[in-house]
Order: sequence, then structure tokens, then C-alpha cells
Amino acid sequence: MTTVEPIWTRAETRALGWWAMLLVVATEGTLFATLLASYLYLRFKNVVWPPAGVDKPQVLLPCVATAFLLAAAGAMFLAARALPRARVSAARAGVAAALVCGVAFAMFQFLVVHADWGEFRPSGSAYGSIYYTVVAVLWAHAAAGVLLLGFCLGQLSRGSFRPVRRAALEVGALYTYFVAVAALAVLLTVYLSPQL
Amino acid sequence: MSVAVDVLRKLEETWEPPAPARHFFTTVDHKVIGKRYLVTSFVFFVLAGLEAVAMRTQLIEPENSFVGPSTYNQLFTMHGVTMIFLFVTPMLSGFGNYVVPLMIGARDMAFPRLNAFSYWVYVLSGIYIYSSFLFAIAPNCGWFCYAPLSEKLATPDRNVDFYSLGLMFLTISTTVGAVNFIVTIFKLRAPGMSLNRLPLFCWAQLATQLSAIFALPALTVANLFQELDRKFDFRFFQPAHGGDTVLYQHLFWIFGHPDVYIIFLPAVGIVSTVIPTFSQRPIVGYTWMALATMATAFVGFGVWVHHMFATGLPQITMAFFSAASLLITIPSGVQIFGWCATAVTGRPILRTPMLFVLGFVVVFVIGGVTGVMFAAIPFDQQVTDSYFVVAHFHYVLFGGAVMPIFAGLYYWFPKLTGRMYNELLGQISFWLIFVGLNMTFFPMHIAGLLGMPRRVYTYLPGLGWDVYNLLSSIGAYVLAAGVAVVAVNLIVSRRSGVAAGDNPFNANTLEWTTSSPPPHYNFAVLPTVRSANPAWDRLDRAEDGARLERGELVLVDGHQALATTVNEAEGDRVLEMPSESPWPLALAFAIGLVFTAVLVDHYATAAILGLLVLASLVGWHVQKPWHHERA
Repeated sequence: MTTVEPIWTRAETRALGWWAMLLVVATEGTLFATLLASYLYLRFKNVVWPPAGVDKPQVLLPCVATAFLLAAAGAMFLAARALPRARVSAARAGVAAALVCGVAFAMFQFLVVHADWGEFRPSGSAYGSIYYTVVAVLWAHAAAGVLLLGFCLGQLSRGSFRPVRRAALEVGALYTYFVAVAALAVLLTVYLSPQL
Repeated sequence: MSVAVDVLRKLEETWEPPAPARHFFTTVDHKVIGKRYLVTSFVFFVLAGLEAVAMRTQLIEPENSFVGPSTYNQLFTMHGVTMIFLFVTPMLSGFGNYVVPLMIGARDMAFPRLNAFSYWVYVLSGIYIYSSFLFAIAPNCGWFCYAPLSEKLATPDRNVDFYSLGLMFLTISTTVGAVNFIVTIFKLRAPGMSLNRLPLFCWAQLATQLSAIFALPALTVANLFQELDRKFDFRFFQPAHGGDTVLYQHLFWIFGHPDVYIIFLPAVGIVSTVIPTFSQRPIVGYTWMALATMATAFVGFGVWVHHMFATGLPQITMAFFSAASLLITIPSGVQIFGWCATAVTGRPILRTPMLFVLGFVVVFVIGGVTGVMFAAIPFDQQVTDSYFVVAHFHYVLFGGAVMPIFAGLYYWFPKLTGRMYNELLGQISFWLIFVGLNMTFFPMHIAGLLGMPRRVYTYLPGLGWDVYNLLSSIGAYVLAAGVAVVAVNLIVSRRSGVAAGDNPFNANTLEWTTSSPPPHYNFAVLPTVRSANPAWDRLDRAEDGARLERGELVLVDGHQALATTVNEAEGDRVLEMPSESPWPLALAFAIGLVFTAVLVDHYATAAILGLLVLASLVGWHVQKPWHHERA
């Protein structure tokens, strides 16, 4: 049987998965916005913030950790640009670099939390509660990002099925940008704003 | 053999489901999943109805002892939770699941496996929450479960844990469902169905799902804080440690008021679908109706504080939210005038779905008027936590959502089953429900104004409340009888109703251009659309038949669907849809186990079960697409 189909040349290029990830980013972004709004709400409900007996949060290590996530976003941007030009090895290198940056973020953030844990606990005050919750949610998102980037790398290492691996890369890149922006918002709100 | 016969044979072969035993657990067909949503949510509706009847029996006379205070607390909480989270929202998702792909001329949802996953999570989370009854520790803190009542000190048993963990579990379903609906509506429309030709039901679904995307995180955060306070001694809602109980109320209502529209807007979509069909003319002011739908969803995010006027917020805050609450009447008004104008300028046919829709308009206007009264702060503060509030939101939710749901059940019943419902029984059920709901809920206005507080399990005689409670209770029995007639009508008609044909109501949307019930592949030829009323475009539909003969737009080389561009719906790319899969069920089950372990404080077990979640995700992604399996 011969069927006649039009030639679909328009190709908006974005895979359905990219649209889905855009919506996931929207809802997860709202989650972070709600958490940070809760942080600010509690902050302005308390005269002393952080509460007495708790030092202001450290700045240097969180800045370094966030810088790693921004670098991961940059690497994924370059990887996403490389793949459509058939530079598969460059794309693979970009994803691998992003993956390393993601792991570095997780490690640095762990060091930050480890140091804080010795000083104050979530059960001590509302400050501790919201601080550890925000940081843990960010850490969980970064960990999910590392898994996603690992999946992207796996797709890029397979020889065939080009559309799928391109979709995976687009989706991974979008998620990485989101986590980097979320980390920046957390840095500004949780670590830098108490210094003012 | 003609091309058309060959195409149909090939489509049947490609889309035919596997053996029923396997198909039950692995299906990703949106029609099957849609029907499951409808049936499951109806079961939850029956449960919520039984809870309501038990409460009304308790309140039928002063100092009654049908149920005790503890049971009563669980009954009203579970009634609210069930109606909002386990009946209305999933029921409307069921309509969306079944109807949206058919209405836009698609072969399935954009992510069929995600669709199956969404359903399984819904069922399991419903079982999760309801299992609390087995241990007599069902949630007992009201459907919004305010702190500090929800804190460990006030509610030491696991009642609240069932509530907050159950809702977090359910939210996964609602969120992935929202993603799926939005991508489906944006990317899988039939060629030519530009956004300004999108059926109003789909506009309503779009507005609803966008609201869900932005509203649900606030509920998740509220539930998360609640559980962290309860299980790990966090201090979010403990003022002695810098926490704040009003924060919970903000978080809940930032979700809660948009959720009113998450419930209401798809119902509005049903109304905007039924009225043109039973008036036999296009909807009046299509563009305004679509814009009003989106505007309602948008403004719905700016009114949450009107649920908190009695919490002592600053005057300026309350004034802003009071104005916003009044503003939302404008898009609602546009829609009501549009429906009335369509009915008045058309040829109204008073069949059962139309009766329910007209009943909706009457009841919803009454609920809307009392809603405007709540926007006036002094009045709100006077009647807060009285039965007047109960009367208002039942008029809005039962009138605004449940009446259209009955309209939708009758309206699409012929499409789902291929058979007609019994019209006489349908009309009897309408009048029983219409009289029953007014008899149940109208006296509550008066009882509330006389000072009867909500959520009391009994009351003293001589307060002037007796007769209104008696009327409400009798009304509840009448209402229950009406629902029973609906159930009997649909169950009996499914087997013995007369054959419906493709389009028994001469409706205007695409789902009526395929057979009743539709084939597995929905449409042999992907329809091409040139107006907002494609089923009435006879020439276009004749052209679809001609295309079938020529083998055009049939997509028979595998499990295929067509993606189109977002705005103009021009052909974009041919998609390979995924095959049936057991992994959505496995993943949902694994997540359910994690939540169960957390419920009983076995965190190490929860972490190990988390690996099961990861394994299910891997299984999901390594399963090959359909055509690989068939090859």
C-alpha cells in the first residue's frame, strides 16, 4: 500500500519532552519561590534574624558552590549549541563538564551544611527549620540534575537514534539552567540577604 | 482491496491492545484511562456522599447520638478531602482525558505512559488516605487542616500524617497530569485547529492545568512544613520558636483559592460545550469566553486572602484582596451572559444535559452572589466559620462543579458507550438533585445567619436551628436518591440503551465525528479544521473521507501521531507514540511504598524503597518504542 503524507518541513525543533520540562521548571520554580517567600515571611515576623545564638550564614563556600552550578549551566549551553552542528564529541564534553560541576556543587554544599549542623539545628528555631529545608530542597534538585545529566551522557554515548539524544540534551540543558537560577536565588536570599 | 480498507486494517493491527489480562495493568490508551478516572472518582463520590448522609443524619435533630464527636470530625474532614481532591478534580480530569484528544483530533495524549502513571498514583493515593479509616485515625482536622491543630501536640495520632503525606502523593498525579494536558493541547491539535479555533472545553482545561502548575507547589510546601514539624520537630508553625501559624493559612490558600477554579473551570468548559449543542448554534462571543476563562484563572491567584479576613491581617492588605475578589466577578459575568445569550438566541432543547446546565446557571449565580457578599470584609468577619459559609461553598461547588459533571456524564455517555441513556430517568434525576441540593444547602444560609457554627457534631434545642437542620437532612436524602437514579440510569443504559450513532445530539466538536465508542486510534484520517465548530463543517468532513480513500494523513507506519505548531497548528513532525507498559504502575506503586514507609517513620526503609523508584524509572526509559516490539 502506498500512503501519501505531506512532507513535514516546519519542524519547530523542540521535542515534546522539552515542553514538558518547561512546565516542570515552571512548577518547580514556583516551589522555590514559595519556599523563599516563606523564608522572607518568617524573617520579617522575627525581630532578630538569625535568632540569638546563631551566627550569620557563611558566604564564601555557598558562593563557590553556586558558581559551580552557574558553570554547569554554561557548559550545558555550549553542549546544546554543539549538537545541532553535529559536533557530538563537543556536546559530550560539555555534558561531562556540567556533570562534574554538579557533583562539585553537591560536595561544597554538603561542606556548608556540615559546618552549619554543628552550630544550629532545624528543631532549634524557625530560622533553622526554613534554612535546612531550603538548602535540602536545592540539594535534592541538584542531585536530580546530576542523574539527568548522567542520562544525557549515556544517550550521547550511544551511536544511533539521534532525535532522542538531542531531546535528552535539550531537556537536560533546560533543567540545568533552572537549577542554576534557583541556586542563585537561594544564595541571594538565604546566604547574602542576612549580611545586609 | 481499496486504499481505505487497507488503511483501516493496518490501523487496527497497529493500535489493537494486547490480551485483556495484560492490558489492564499496562494500557496507556487515553480513553481507557479516562473511563477509569470517571468510574474511580464516582466511587469516591459515593463514599463522600455516604459521609455527608451520615453527618446530616447526626444533625437531623438536636443532641442526636448517631455518631460521636471524634467520628464526626473524621467524617467532615474526609468528606471535604474526598470531594475536592478525590472526586471533583479527578472526575474532571477523566472528562479531559477521554475528551480532549478526541476534541482536538489527536490519537492520544502527548505522554501516554505519564497519563497511566497519573491515574495509578491517583488511585493509590486515594487508597492511602482512605486506609486511615481501617485504623480509626482518618484525618480529622478539616479539609484545610490548619496549624496549630495539625501540630503533634494537638493531634498526636497519625490522622494528619495520612492527610499531608496523602496529599503530597496525590499532588504528583495532578502535576504530571497538568503537564500532559498542556503539552497535548499546545502540540497535538489537528492541522488547522489554531488557538482561536480551540474548543472552549479545551481552553478551560488549559486554564485549569496552568493554574495547577502554579498553585500546587504551595500545597506541597504547606504539607511538607506540616510533616517536618510533626515528624522532625521543625518549628515552622510554633510561635514560641519564631514560627507562625498564619504562614500555613497563606500557603494553603495560595493553593486553595486557585483550586476553586481548578475545580470550577473544567466544569465551565462542560457548560460551554453543552449549551451550543443544545441550542444548535455556535457559542456567543467565543473570543470573550476564551479570554474570560483565562482571566478567571489568572485573577484567581490574587484573591486568597479573602479566606483569611478574620485572621487579623493589616487593613490595607484586606482592602486589596477585597477589590480583587470583586474583580473576579467580571470574567464570570462575561461567561454567564455568553451562555444565556447563546441559549436565548438559539433553539434550546431541554434534554437532560441541558437541564443540568441550566440548573447550574441558577445555582451558581446564587453561590456567586453570596461569594460577592464575602468580599465585603465586615460581612465576612460576621459569618466566618458559620453555616453560611458552608451554604455558600456548596452552592458554588455543588452548583458550579457537580451539576456540570452530571451534565457531562449524560452528554458524553453516548460517545463513551455507543448507547443512549434513558431520558425520562435522566430528567427525574435532574429534578431530584436540583430540589435536593436547594433543600439541603439553602436552609444552611439561615442557620448560619442565626449563628450556627460549622463543624459542630450536635447542637442544643431551642436555638432556632432545628427546623433548618431537619430540612437540610431531608434534602440530603433527596439528593442522594437523585445520585442513585443517575447511577442506575447509566449502569442500565450501558447494557440496554438504544444505539447512539456517531453524533446523536448534532454536536459541533470533533469527538462526534468518529464512531461511538471511538476506535483505538480515534481517527482513521487526522481531521483538518477550518472553524471552531468542525463537526458542523460538512465539506471538511467529506474531505476527510476522500483523504482516507487516497491514503492521506493516515499515519499508518507504526504507533504514530502528528505534532503541530503551537499557534497555527500546522504540521510539525510525526511522533512515535510509546507502547503499553507496566512501568507506570510499578513506579506509582514504588512511590506509594515510600510514602507508606515515611508514614510509619521507617526512614531507612523509605530510602531503600527509593531505589525501587529509581529502578522503575530506568525500566520505563529502557523499554523500546512500539514499532521495535512489533518488528
